[in-house]
Amino acid sequence: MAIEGFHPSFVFLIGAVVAALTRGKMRSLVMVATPIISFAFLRGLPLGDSFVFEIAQWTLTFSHRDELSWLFGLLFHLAALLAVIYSLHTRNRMEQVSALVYAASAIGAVLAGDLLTLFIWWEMLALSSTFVVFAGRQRRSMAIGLRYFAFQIVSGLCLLTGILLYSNSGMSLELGRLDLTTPGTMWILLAFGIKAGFPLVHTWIVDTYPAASATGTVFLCAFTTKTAVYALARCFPGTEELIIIGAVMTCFPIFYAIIENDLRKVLSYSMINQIGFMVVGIGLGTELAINGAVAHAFNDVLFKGLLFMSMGAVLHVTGKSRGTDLGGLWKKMPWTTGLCIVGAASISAVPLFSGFVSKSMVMAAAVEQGHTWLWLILLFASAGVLEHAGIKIPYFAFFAHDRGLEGREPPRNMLLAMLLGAGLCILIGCRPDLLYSMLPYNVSFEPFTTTHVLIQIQLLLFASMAVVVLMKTGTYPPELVKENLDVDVIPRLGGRALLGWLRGTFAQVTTRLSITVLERIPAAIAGPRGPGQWQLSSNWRLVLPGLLLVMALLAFLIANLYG
Amino acid sequence: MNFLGAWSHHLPVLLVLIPLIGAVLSPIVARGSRGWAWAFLTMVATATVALELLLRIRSSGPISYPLGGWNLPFGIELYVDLLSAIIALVVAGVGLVVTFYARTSVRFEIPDDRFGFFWSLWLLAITGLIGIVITGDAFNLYVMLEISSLTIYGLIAMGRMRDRRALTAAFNYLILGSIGAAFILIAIGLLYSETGTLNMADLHRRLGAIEANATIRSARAFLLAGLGLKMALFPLHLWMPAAYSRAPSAVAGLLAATATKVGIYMAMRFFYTVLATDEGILTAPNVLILSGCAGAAIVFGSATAARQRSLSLLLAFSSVAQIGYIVLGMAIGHSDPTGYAMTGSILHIISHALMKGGLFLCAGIFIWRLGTNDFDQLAGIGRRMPWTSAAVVAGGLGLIGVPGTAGFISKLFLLRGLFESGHPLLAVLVLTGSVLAAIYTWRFVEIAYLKPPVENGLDHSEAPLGMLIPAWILIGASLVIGFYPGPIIEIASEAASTLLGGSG
Repeated sequence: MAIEGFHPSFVFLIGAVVAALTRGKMRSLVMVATPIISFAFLRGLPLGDSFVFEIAQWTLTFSHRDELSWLFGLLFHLAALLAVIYSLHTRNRMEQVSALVYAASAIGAVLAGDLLTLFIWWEMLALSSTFVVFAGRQRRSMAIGLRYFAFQIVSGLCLLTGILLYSNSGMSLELGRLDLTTPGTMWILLAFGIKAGFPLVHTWIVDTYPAASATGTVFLCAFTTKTAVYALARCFPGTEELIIIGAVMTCFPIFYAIIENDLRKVLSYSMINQIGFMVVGIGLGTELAINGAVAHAFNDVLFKGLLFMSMGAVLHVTGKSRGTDLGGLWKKMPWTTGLCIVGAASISAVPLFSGFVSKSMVMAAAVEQGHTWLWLILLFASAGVLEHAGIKIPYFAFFAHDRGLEGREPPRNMLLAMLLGAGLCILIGCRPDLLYSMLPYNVSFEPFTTTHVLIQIQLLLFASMAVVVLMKTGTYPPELVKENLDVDVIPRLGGRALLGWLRGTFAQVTTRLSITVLERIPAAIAGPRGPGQWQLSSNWRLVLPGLLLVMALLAFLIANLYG
Repeated sequence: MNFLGAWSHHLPVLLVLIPLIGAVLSPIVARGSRGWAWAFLTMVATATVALELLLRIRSSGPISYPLGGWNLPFGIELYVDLLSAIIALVVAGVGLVVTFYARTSVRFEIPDDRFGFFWSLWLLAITGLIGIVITGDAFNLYVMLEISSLTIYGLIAMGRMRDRRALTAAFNYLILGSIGAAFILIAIGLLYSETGTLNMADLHRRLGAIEANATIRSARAFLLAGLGLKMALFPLHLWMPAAYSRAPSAVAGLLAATATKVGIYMAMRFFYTVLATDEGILTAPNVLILSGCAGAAIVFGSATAARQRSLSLLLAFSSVAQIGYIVLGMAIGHSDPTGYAMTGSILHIISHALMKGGLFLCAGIFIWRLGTNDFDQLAGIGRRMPWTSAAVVAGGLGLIGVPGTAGFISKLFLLRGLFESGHPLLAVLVLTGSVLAAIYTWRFVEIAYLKPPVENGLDHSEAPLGMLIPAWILIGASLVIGFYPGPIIEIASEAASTLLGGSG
């Protein structure tokens, strides 16, 4: 079904308004119907530019449909539908409404045809997702939401600065390949990088995602970073710097993920690692690599969503998400366990599951380009993925020590969403041609060659063996209740220090200064008004502005007569 | 839309005459509650005329209207160009909406026996404000300025029933405002002594023909200082926070939306047409002082706003900052060949009038319910008065300049202008102001939505529609502009290029 003549994002925005005004079953209906109706409109969008608005000297293109934006549009609709179904049982109006606005912004961003429109949706994305974090309604939600918002706002400001500099140098704002030598593009890359979780600016991901509600995280993990990946693929394909950045992203989170105790935080680190694969693909820039990056983004939304959903289900049922608190749930939550394993198999790129068909594209592209060292790094990263996401997550949550936790299967809507996600993972894993046919470039790629399959199976077996050996010999890093230090210590401590300084010394100094200038000095001239009293008398409240007025006049007289 | 027939060429004078006659007749024809109906009808007529005038000027250019048939430049001229028409429509339009609001709010803030008097002052103030905007005569401008100022002092003082300190606020503003107005009068006098004319166009012509001397330069200085006070440009803003927070709610809404904007209009008129000679008033030192004050206003105003303990004071200090933006765009407007800065400035006059007007109306709603809008009483109000609180948040987002609000559009133009004219540092300042605006907007969100509600035995239900609708009309209009900025941008950039053309 395809309907023409309306922008999908606005369907979501209208859906959000209606959802805000309804309650109960009615709202559930609206929430589910929104992505479906919107998808019909997405299909109806004409190829090329539409919804073009001329505002003064700017052209805002709200819809630019080609293979890339269509694929991400489809992906975001799928993700929105799954997440909506997953969150049907909640009665959290703030979360549900802001999640719809959030989805609208992400879809708007991938459909945008020029940088200004992208910026508009970019900011909406930041704002609406912050409210999804706030809606977590935990004690920490507020502080974490503010930190998250700070990152997103800085990203938006970088983008704005970049756009202004870029357009000042006489370039058209149409969205397309950007050259890093043009002024302003560094800022734009930085803006995208913050949202994509580049190393050193990745901390908001691992800070925020584990802190949102079980349902909120499912929304969060789908949109923000993937919008950034889309923007990178659109504007910076073949930018070699991205290869190095991406390679770092695939490796460093592994170490954190292995020692991390909170399983949702493990998933967040694993998300950075997966985005690393996409960034590498974009940096390589060949048709195969871009296809691989995009396909991997598509798959990642599905299997990472599935993993976050299964951990969310555990959190929903038991109230816990730490490895040290969980274990032995497989008897009580068999369905969740099975679905989680499907997600784990997909992310570990087991053949016949979705991760395999896209990750092998990026790896093949690296080999094709002659980047042997890069291929080795990616291979190492794949082994790491298997360890922390493929084995650690299901093992610690559902097996390991039985801690005698109360448990039952989560509500039916959660199971349904997970089932759909798992079904898609297996479907793409077995019939990769369905996904390949939608990719931006026509590349014939055969994932199930003997070499690919053999290498991957070897890798999986050896990595699993390593884990088993480490566990049996007791050298595996134990799960500990602790906070692991990441680079965000610096901004967090720095931010705390800055806030303290602003509230403390700075406030005191400025207050003192203003009291001195505005009250004490005049009062001293006028003579003290009593023992220890330096209160501003009512006369001064009048005389002071008068004095300022006269001073302003003098300043202007001097400026005009002698300036 | 020509429903005036043969009267249509009298449009400019009608714009002043209608509220003036309305004001004079108000205590006679309408007592008690009928006063409101009379004022409302008057405002409907005024706003219609203002709209008609704007449309006419867009289609057929500026209108010059000699009063009483006296020949120019000796008679008084009304001269309406696009900028005047825009500001006149802002004053009349916002005035109309606030009049609608005042029906409910005035009833408990003004003593009953003062109703007739109040409506009379109210209409006179609007007469004065519109008069300033459409006159083409420098002395007439001063007269209109005094009409509006004196009535505004009176209106502020009427807040005494709620807060006795309204009297001191009004008195302080009276003294300062009178000195400021005297400065403007001195400036006009000096110009008159040098050129022998009071007609603005004529002044411009004659000033262009003579070399700038000490008299003319002193006139400029007096004018800058006087206008600085009327605009409430930092550090001459000290009268404003007290006046805005203690005036009756409807008056605060009207003043915040229109009074300072008219001050800025006067500055634009003088800087860019009357005094726009070769040397001009915007010399390097003057621009330095103006943009320095504007920059300080942005930072100081926003930072002070974040420290206030009541919504009204927060909004008032935020106005100090927002005026900084407008003055900044105006001060550097002449050095920006693309006209973005000036367009941004004019756009911000419109968007700030809508947002701040709406916000002050919301602040008034809280006062109407709770007797105060101190933050400690507003804890948890977001759940009890969701629509009012949502309006405050929407307006606050506009003050930050979030995309989708009118504030975004105007700040975008301003920023581009600052970049185009080579002032990236000032652009950073503008962005800093946005961050500070986010902080003070956040304060309200935190108090209204995240704190547990206070139990003080007061009725916390949602405000009556008679107050809520006007507040949402203004806030809603700013959102509509945010989403469909096309026509407004077009009008504003046209007005900006007319102004800048006059200086070239």
